[in-house]
Amino acid sequence: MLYYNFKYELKILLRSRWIQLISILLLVLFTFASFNGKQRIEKKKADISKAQETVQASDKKMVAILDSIEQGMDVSISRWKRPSRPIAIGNYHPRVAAMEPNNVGFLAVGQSDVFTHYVMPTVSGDDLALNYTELTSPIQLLFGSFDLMFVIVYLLPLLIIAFSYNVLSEEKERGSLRLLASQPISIHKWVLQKLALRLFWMSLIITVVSVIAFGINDVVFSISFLSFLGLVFCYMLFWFCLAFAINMSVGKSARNALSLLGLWIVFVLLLPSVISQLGDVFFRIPPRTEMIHEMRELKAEAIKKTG
Amino acid sequence: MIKKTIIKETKELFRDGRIKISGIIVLLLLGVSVWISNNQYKRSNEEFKEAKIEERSVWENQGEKNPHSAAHYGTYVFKAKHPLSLLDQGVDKYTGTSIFLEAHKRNEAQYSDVADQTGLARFGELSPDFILLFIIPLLIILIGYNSFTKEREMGTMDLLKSQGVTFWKMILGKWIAIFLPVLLITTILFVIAGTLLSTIEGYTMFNWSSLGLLLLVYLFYYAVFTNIVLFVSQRVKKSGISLVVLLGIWIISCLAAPKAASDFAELKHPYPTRQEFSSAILKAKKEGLDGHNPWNKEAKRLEKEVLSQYGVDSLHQLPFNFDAYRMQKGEEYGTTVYQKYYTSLKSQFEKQADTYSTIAIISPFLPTRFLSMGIARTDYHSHWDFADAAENHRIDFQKFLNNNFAKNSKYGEWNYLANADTWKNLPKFHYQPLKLVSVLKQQKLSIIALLVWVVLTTILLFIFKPKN
Amino acid sequence: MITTKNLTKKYGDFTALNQLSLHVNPGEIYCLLGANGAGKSTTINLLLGFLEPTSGEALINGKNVAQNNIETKKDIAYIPENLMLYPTLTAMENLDYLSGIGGQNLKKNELESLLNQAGLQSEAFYKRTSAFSKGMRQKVGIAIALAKNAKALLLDEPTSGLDPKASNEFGLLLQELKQNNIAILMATHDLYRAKEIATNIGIMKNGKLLEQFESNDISLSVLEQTYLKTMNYKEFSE
Repeated sequence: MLYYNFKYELKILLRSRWIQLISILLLVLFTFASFNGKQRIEKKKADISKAQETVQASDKKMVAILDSIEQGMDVSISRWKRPSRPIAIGNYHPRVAAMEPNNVGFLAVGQSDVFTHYVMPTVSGDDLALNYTELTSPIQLLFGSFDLMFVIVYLLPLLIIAFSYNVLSEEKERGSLRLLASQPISIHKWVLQKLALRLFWMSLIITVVSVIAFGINDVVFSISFLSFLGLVFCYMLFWFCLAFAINMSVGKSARNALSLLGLWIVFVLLLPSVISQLGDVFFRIPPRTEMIHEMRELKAEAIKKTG
Repeated sequence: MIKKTIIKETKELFRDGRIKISGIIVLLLLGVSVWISNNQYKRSNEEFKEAKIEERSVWENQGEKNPHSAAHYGTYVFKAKHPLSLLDQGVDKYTGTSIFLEAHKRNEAQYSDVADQTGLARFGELSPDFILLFIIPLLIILIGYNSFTKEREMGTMDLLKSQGVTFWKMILGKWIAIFLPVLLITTILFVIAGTLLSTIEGYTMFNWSSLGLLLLVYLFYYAVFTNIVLFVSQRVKKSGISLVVLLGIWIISCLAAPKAASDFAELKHPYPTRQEFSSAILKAKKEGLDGHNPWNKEAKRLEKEVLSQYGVDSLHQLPFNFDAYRMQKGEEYGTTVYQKYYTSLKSQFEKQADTYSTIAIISPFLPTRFLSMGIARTDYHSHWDFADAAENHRIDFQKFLNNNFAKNSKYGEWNYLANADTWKNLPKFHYQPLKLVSVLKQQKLSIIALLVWVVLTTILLFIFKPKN
Repeated sequence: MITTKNLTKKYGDFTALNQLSLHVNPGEIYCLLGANGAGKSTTINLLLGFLEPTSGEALINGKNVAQNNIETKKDIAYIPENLMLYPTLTAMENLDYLSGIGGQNLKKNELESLLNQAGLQSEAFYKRTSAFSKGMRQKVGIAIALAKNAKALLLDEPTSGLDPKASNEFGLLLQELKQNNIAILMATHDLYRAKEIATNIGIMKNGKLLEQFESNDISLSVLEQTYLKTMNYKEFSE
């Protein structure tokens, strides 16, 4: 049965233009998302190198001033800002502490848009571990980004649902199931094979498209690429299994589609927010206002002590 | 005839198992989300109250201290949650809730919720706005996707036509039948929210007209979706295709378009990084605005001016503490620098907002989202308003301290200590949220965009008759 | 051979099939007559293993269908009432696929000869079945049935929707198959065709087999009258 299913499923998918449609759709989505990711990464790198350049430029000036000081010349800088004092260097000529983006950072924005990726810490001042958020438009944070992970987590399951919701119900509704069921085969096995074949072709298309996406970002042959493919494959497997269960248990195409959609809403939209809210219920982060208050009291005491 | 259609459609809907189930699920979700949101709102309010009181008491109990030390010790102001945030959290989670006011520096709002949460929180919250913006349009699609296609597939379309049914009456009937349950659910939700809010003691007055306007915005949004759903159902041959097309539209409007829009807006009008921003400000403070007129020069000029004004030769002869006076002027000078940079940041934001308005062409979700956040006072405009108000308070606060120092001491008297009661005289910070009228003015473009969506889709629906 | 022994199917309180017992020997054609809802399709579904009997047995070549679902399917060929094929595949491809998944591995010339035998014009062999008429589709179905070389053939309203010529061709084909010692059970409305080709005729109403005779023992007019009378028969349990 597998040989025949394989041969004819491919023919049917090609003739009904499914494979072409999925390929084009995935290609467009993946390349758009990966270009987006690439731009973000480039900007981060540019920010860091710009900062390093400014430090280099200001260092040159500082060295020149030090030179003048050593030669006993007069400089028009206030005493406490002179680079001959180490604290002055610490406060007025800070270094760049940077977190270079990972080479597969283009995959997901994650929380990187909330936090800074580089700082120039000065010696005195508040602990930087207190506040390290980036100056991003909160609307951007609210909407999120069109990154590759968005395509995979949100959009890919929908594609899979569209591709697999009516494998059995279509046969029933078209009428060809009667003939099929009168053959000495297990329908269970038949549906399984059809879905497995669709999973196979989709995986193939995704692999090709991923190569392109990773290629745009100049990372192809690496463990990250393989782990990415593995992850996506497992995720696809989950959704195909769900589709298989629904195909075998529910009846009409419309019902199947709606059930699968309902499951998508539950798994992708609802469950994450419910879990995160549960996390908040059981392990509540104490409000920062409490921390502020404690800090303030300690500071006040410290000031009183030192007079 | 329209009434008969409405009755028949409604009966069909109620007898349909899946619609009953989805309806119940939506109601459940709404109930849960309102309950969660209510708890969060109450909790935030309490935290806010406590924080305010505690901060004030810390400030007032500083004891004897030099006003300038107090200025450096600074004080915190906190952002209260607007009552309508119960329904729409907007960007509250992503903006800080406390601003530190200190001498010589304007600070950003700190400690946004999102910075303290895991990546899962970025998936969104089970809040009423999530249900209102994402789930209810899905419900509309579910109820209406096969409104016309089922008549065709069952064969009853021919029957109806042979009975002499007019096209627009049929559409109107079906439209009302789809819209009615949605209208009901949403209105009940808003009434419940309103009742809850009017009983909770929030820090800002709850206003029924804002609530009513918010409801209207969402009803327009649902009208647009109802139009689109009926239009697609009427143009397409099979129910299956109608469902797929409508889902595609939902995905593009509600999920993909906002993301693409935000990436695009950020690309076209990028924000500076925090480091860049603060370095630029530092530089401007040192070298003067635009590199001219640095403070040290300006200070010397001020000295001469004051000396000549009072007709004395040395600063010791002035009737007030010149150091304090100079510090105040320095502070005012500093604020102009901050003003310039923050204004440029704001203009980037405004440009980004305009970009969103242009992209509203591809999605009715965008103008609705912005309007909803605006009316709930949980959008970025409101945050800016708060931040600006805090800055104004900081300016007053510095003035108060510096004036105290200037009046009550002499030049060079750095060990002057203000007595412990002084701090109580600092006026408290009261923030009044934006008035509804100014919100609406700000959201002009979104209002227009949403109305255009309603009008265009309605025209589309009633003008394009199906071929059969 | 096709046999049912007191075959009964109930859905809750509703009895779709009530103690049906019939037997079809190889080389015989049994026509099952009755109105819509009489239980003809239920009988066929039970014999195909699509349904499980509430009580009684359905046997194909002596094997119990309910217990040996896949085994018995090897021995049955089935042509449904409205035979639908895969529209994007050609007639040859449909035949190849449907016979192939059943376990047969037929070569191209074998497939072509089967389609020929079934009466399909050779121009249609490589055309997509989306454009086929009901008669053409049925011919492909016949080819699929022939390919199986099964000893039992089940037909559900095969001549409904066929024009007289196609219907006639079909009758002739059945006669041929009869010669090949295949047991054929045919559910139909078509009295006239039934009288023409059947060995035995059964009349069903409300799930019960009310009358059964050999075709040769009865004239067409008597058959007609009996059929109409049976249709008006009112049972006490109704």
